[in-house]
Amino acid sequence: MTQVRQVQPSHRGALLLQSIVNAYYESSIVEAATRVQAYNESVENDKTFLQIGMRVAIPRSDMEKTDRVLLVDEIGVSVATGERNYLRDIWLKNLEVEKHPAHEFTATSFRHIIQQLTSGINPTIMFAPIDKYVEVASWIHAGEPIIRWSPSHGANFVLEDGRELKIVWSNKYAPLDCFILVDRSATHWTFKPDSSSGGRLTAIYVENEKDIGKVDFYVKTVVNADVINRTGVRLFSFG
Amino acid sequence: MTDNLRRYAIDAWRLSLALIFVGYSGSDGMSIALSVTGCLRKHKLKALLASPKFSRSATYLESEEQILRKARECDAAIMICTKKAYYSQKFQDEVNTLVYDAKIPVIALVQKGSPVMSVLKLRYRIKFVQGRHRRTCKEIIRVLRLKMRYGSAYLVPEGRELPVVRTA
Repeated sequence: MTQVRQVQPSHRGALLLQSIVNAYYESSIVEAATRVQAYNESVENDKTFLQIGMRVAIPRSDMEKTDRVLLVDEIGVSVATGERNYLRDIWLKNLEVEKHPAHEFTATSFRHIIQQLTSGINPTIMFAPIDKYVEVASWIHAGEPIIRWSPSHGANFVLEDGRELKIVWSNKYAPLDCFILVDRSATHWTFKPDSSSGGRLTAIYVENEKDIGKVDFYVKTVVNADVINRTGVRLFSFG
Repeated sequence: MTDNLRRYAIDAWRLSLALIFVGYSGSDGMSIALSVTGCLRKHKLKALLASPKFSRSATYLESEEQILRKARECDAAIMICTKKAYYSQKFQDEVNTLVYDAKIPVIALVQKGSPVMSVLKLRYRIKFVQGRHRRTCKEIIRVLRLKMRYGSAYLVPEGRELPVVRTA
């Protein structure tokens, strides 16, 4: 286990850490895409865990600068992005991508394909490549009843039978070439709880070993993801 | 090369290739946007700006959809908030797309006295007095580099050291 020396923050310093934690939970998709459980050593001691996180060195005096709340919160978003990339890699490694010809990427065909792929499973979320964004947006402009948008929930894809899927678009930091339909029961996400909060994310200050004038944000989640039902995640692409 | 050094090299390379979308509305907004573009170029960042005065934008000026298609390729965005922009539907569409769909870091460059869209009130804001936007260049670059540096967190086996990102 890596040894780090924790630094106790002032009230202001704690606000910066809280902004990282809040941004992480707002951005993380693991609750929507997997079954999340805390690690129980007595039951599952054979799992291999991965850390998703980073240390960010800052001048010690910056711990007091609460005007940086909107800068450091990006560290929490970054961990959530790392989780997305980890999940994507696990799915791509374990599952086949179903390929469709490019001409089938129309509103009607797309809806039909998804309806077929979702039969027998209960997906609630769909990861989508951002380079298909403009086409999908054009279907909405054309009046196709396939996307329902609300300010609180964002865009949802509406299936033929009325079920809805939350759409999560890829971006430069979490790239994706195919669509991924996800029934959250298909993947188990096990995390090692943070020793003080019991939550998924550890966000603390630690001493910077190389420079006593600096401290590091030490932010990480320790996780293992397992696909336990291969039919619950469907990957497909066009072209 | 160690894993950490390799990651630093990749991060530095990614930042050097970064493409920044600059959004604006109206002629005042355009002149500020062109100035911001010059600031980015001076600091070796590439800009994407839909303006007839920006020579490389010709291919995506055809429609708002084309602009959004290009915007999704960006690493981050600077949205110039003037009064005109606040009332522009196109500007609002661009902000919503970048924040909610593309989910890239968005910075608001706000002209003092101009109203700001609610969604941008939750982003990092840099304020400037009308006519003095050039003074914000350094801060824009500092904030952009910080925002983009984080990207996706590192994935490391348990027990290994987490890489340190240096920001100052």
